[in-house]
Amino acid sequence: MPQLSPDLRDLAAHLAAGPAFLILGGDGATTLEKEARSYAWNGVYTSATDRAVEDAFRTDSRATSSLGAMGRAPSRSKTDLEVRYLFGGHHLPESERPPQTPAEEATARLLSNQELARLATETVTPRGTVLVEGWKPGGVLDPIDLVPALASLGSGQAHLFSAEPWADHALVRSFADSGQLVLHQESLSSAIRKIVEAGASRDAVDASTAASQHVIALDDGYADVDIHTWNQIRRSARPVDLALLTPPVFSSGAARYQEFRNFIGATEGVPRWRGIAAGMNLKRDYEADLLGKVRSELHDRDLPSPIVLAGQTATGKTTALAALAMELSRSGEAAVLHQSRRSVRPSVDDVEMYAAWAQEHGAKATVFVWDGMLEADEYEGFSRQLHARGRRVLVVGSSYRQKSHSSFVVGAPAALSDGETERMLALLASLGIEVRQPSRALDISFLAFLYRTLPDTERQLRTGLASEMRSAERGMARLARQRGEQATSDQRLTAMQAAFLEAGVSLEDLLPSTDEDETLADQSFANRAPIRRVTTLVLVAGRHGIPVPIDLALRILGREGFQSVRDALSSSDIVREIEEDDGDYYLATRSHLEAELLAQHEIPLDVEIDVVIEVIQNVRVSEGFTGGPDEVEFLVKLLERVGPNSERKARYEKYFGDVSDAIRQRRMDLGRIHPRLALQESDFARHYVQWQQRAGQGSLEERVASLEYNRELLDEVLADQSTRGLLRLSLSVELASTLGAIIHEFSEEGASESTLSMAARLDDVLKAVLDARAVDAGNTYPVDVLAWATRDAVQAGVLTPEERVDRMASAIAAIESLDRSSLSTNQLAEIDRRAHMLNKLLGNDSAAWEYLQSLERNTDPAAAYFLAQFAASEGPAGEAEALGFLRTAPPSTRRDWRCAQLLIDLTWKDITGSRLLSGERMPLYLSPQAIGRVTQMGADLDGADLPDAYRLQFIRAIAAFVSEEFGESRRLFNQVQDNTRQLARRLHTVYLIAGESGQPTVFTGRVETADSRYGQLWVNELATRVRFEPRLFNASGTFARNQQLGGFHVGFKLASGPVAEPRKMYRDAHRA
Amino acid sequence: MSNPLLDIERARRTATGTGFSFDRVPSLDPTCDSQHEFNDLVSSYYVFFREHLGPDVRFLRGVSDTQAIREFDGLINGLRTAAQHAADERARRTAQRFLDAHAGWPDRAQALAGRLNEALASLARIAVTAMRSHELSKQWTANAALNLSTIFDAVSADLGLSFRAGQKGYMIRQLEGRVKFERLSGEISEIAKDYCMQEIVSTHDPLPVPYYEVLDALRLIGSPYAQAAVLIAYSVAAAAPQLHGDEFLERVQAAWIATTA
Repeated sequence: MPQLSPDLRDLAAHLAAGPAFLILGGDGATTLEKEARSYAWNGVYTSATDRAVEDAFRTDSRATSSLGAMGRAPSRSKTDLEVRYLFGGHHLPESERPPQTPAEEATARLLSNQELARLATETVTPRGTVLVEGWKPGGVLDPIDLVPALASLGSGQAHLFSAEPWADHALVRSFADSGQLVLHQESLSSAIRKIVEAGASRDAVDASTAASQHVIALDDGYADVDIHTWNQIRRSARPVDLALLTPPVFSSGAARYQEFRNFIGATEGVPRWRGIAAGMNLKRDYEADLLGKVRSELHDRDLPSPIVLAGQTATGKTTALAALAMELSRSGEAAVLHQSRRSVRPSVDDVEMYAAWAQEHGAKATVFVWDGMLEADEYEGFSRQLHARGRRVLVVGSSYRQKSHSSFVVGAPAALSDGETERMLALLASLGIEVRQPSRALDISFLAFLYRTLPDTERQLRTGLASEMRSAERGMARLARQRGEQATSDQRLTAMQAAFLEAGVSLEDLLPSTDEDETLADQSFANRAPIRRVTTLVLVAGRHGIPVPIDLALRILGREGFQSVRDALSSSDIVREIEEDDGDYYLATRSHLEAELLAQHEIPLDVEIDVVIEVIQNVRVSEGFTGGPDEVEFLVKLLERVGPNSERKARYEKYFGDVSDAIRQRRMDLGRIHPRLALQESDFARHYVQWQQRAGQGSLEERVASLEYNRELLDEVLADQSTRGLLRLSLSVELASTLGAIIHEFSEEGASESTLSMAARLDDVLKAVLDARAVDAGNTYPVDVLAWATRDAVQAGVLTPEERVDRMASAIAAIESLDRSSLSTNQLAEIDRRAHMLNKLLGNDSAAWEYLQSLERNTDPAAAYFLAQFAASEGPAGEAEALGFLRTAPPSTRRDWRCAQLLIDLTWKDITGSRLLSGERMPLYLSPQAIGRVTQMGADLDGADLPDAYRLQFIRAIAAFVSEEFGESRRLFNQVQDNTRQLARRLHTVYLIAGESGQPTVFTGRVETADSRYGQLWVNELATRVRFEPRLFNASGTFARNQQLGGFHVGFKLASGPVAEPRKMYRDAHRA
Repeated sequence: MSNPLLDIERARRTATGTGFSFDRVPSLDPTCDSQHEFNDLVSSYYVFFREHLGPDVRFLRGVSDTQAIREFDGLINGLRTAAQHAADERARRTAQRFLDAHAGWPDRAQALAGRLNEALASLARIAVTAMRSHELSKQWTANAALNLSTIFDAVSADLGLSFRAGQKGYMIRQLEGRVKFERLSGEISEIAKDYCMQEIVSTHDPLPVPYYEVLDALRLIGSPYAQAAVLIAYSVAAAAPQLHGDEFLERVQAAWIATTA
């Protein structure tokens, strides 16, 4: 093999170490040969203005896009390459076209210089390389602009090719002499070709292979993920493809030992796929349980419920989830996505797109392994959204807490079982690491600790085995505890610290040293040495398990950032750089526990808050996917860890006001509102008010003024209808909570707030709650907020009896409107507790009772609702009485949303004997009389402002279908479809058409159209067509046009109206 | 339309960590107009199926054998033997039956390719099964570990290098020739590793210690600087041929520190 010259070997090493960027002069693209064009660049910058530059880099395995200078944050993606036209492009939008006038040229040059400065100070990162080709004297890119911009780069980071014309240029020469710019006489293409031929560039090899670079195992074969699907899903998650499943090959025990040491020393939260593929992971007992639950959910016909792996820090969850993802992917049972906690927040749209793609390629389901360390609610909300869009996606998440409403929770204990300890010792022994059996249960963090005591090389292990292992065993003794004893996080930290001491590892030694005399803990963030500012920033985030996007870190660290990050990375093992395969770079701590220990020693609380505020001030605020790491996501995660809903709330809450103020100031500086940050601003401010109230700080007026400010902010955000989905839900709940908090303030202080104002505020809460429920009717939080706000308002004693009855009726009706069949036992218990609280409140309110009694024959809808509700709770006779009462009530009362809702429920129960929308595949016979009643009710309630209008629309649609008014039925089913997009149950077949006997009717028909997913079936007996899923009728899912289909049922779904189903599905459901 | 050979390669890589060593695959849509061309095709299929793919075919047939694989194996063996050793009566009959069943060389070539394709499709299904089983993957890995291609991949990884299929194929052919013709003593896999390393760094001399001990001592396994370190080790070996074992490693460490300071 040809050997590389020293300068090219050095270049190859630089290219292997970090991202690579290409700056092309005016006609640079034409000089590039295949090797240089196909190299896996992280970004291309050009002074040319024609589309040909972008075209030159587009391949089957790489998409490209053109952007003007400073167009948006750079992404560094190798598979979705950004080509930046420094002086505009003729094919770009008008504002990014090449300059036509001197004034435009001046602006273009300014932007170009800004872009080059951003490249050199942020984008390239301290480990990246900038290569310049095709740059000639006299071109539009002036040396005075380009060369100084590269000054902040370190030695060997900037290279100029085909440098002959610049040999005598004073400025270029001076930078070359100082080592800041390496001049190469040969062309870039020639250099890359030599590097590739010497085998010294993996990136060039990858880029030159065929299009199918991303392949997943699916069913009995494989599916190639096309580049556009890949690029879109990579914004949100990583498909677990063959590249991740491929194990490394080892030449020797030394190579294997090194891999193992790298594996146990890997940055937490970042799965080390190679090590798992090589079988270096300790298989925890709970992994079998987890895999069993996943398989059980996948085999179930129902849409899979989320599964959450819950446990403290450093209990092997990240490795277990990655191993699970690999096992499932390898088996081809499902298309598997993986997302670790550091990256951007996954988008429902992206995951839905991938699930649809996978389904088209034969996947029975998609499993989304989201190692997000979030509350179970987040996974549940995400899962509901995907299910509502008809996607069979199983979300498997990770969490610190075992608490969940509707997920399966698998616990990840910190202590190793006997079996796990045996397996761990066997694994270590296979690598030549002999450790004695501990006498007590060992903490899983022993493996992370072992990294600090194991020598760097196998040779050292062989020669210094005895002393190293004695250190390890002393540490092990500290990390072992009595069986059955569950250690808290703090106890585990103490044990880890003691283990380090026993093993002779000093915490201070983990940090880079400086010459300063002053104790680190006494220094503010601003006054710390540059290298310590790096470690402080990384530790503040790292103690919460969050890596810092490198661009943000460099911005916070300022001019010295590049050098201090380089110094920190090279002089200590505590700060690590993480490279994502999509080109995002982060700084992280190796171990969560180590970061926590160091932070406790080195970072006082006020310094930690300083850092949080620095982050707020420097974060790049962008909406939606713009390329590059989502810094807002990073900030929000950091705020969540130190915020009102964190486990450490008590530690931080006196600073909530400072944090809220900083976010507000950032908003002011930006001059626009970012909805996610507005949510955080309000949440921090609201909880600060709560803290103030408990701590007796501030006056009532000040606290209410703060909450009112929040309210205005939230009103403004919510007025923008483009704020949708889960964020809108959260903002609406926050608004309701803020209004509730104002009510609480008045209620606690016993202030004489005017009754009008209190009642009006409660109405606003109701409005916000209904807004939230419109987004996700399965979420119980909004109703919960309404319940406690109502309680506080009632207890404040300023509402009239009439107002109390009315608002309590609304709160109870909101609770009653929840679809109980879609709620977990925990959720049901919680809402029942709230309903009981409100009923008790009413029961104890003699004035309200008096009002109710006196108005028994009155038309007040709230009173009518309560009276009907009380009667209905007395059993069938009471239900009949309540129904009669409501049917004879005045139209305006009947159309009140609470009464209307009750009327619909009672009518349906009277007709069918069961609650509306409860159960699945319930045989439904509607007599002509029943159809008439439904039709009449529909006419009566026309125009009623129902929050869950789909319920009435659905039964009206069924009635119209059964009475063969198919046009009207279609119209109503379309409305139902529109109004139930967020409901998980919309995909269930709720009712089946039945005869008078109550048995489902059997229909016959023929296929009109069918593809792999859906088809249309002509139903002989009904003389109309309905949808069907071919796959349900036979395994191949293929049907010929006009193929006869005998013996099926016709049912109704909220999502799609009438559907044909095989009879087996009814039999299976009712057998179960 | 799936490509069974590609599927086998993907399964092999997922199970063992390495793909195929060969970079030339005979056409599965051949055109033959004469017996001479047909014999060439038989020869290329024979080499491909029984030699290049041989170790994997044998392993996968041990997992599960199918009629398509058995029949093609027997047929290609019969055709090849008949062409090269006319006296083998059994092979001659096998070949004659196949030739009689198809009229004309173009049809015969297509039929033979069809049989190969069926055998490969069968092997692909077995390969996917093997890839999904941890136990079978382990066995496949052990089976592949003796393969020169696997050793080459491991050595390349140690040296922080990655070669294109064509380059790798060329170097492996060189190595195969060397392994075949040189009289070897000692553990074959260790020698093969050394040969791979020598091929990559373009030398034919051994180092006083295995190259990976040099890399381990310098903490450079898999590093972009690994190859440079091996070259330094060669310089030390040339300058101080009397050094062995730890003494040699210590001198190499000193030289490395001096060079990179």
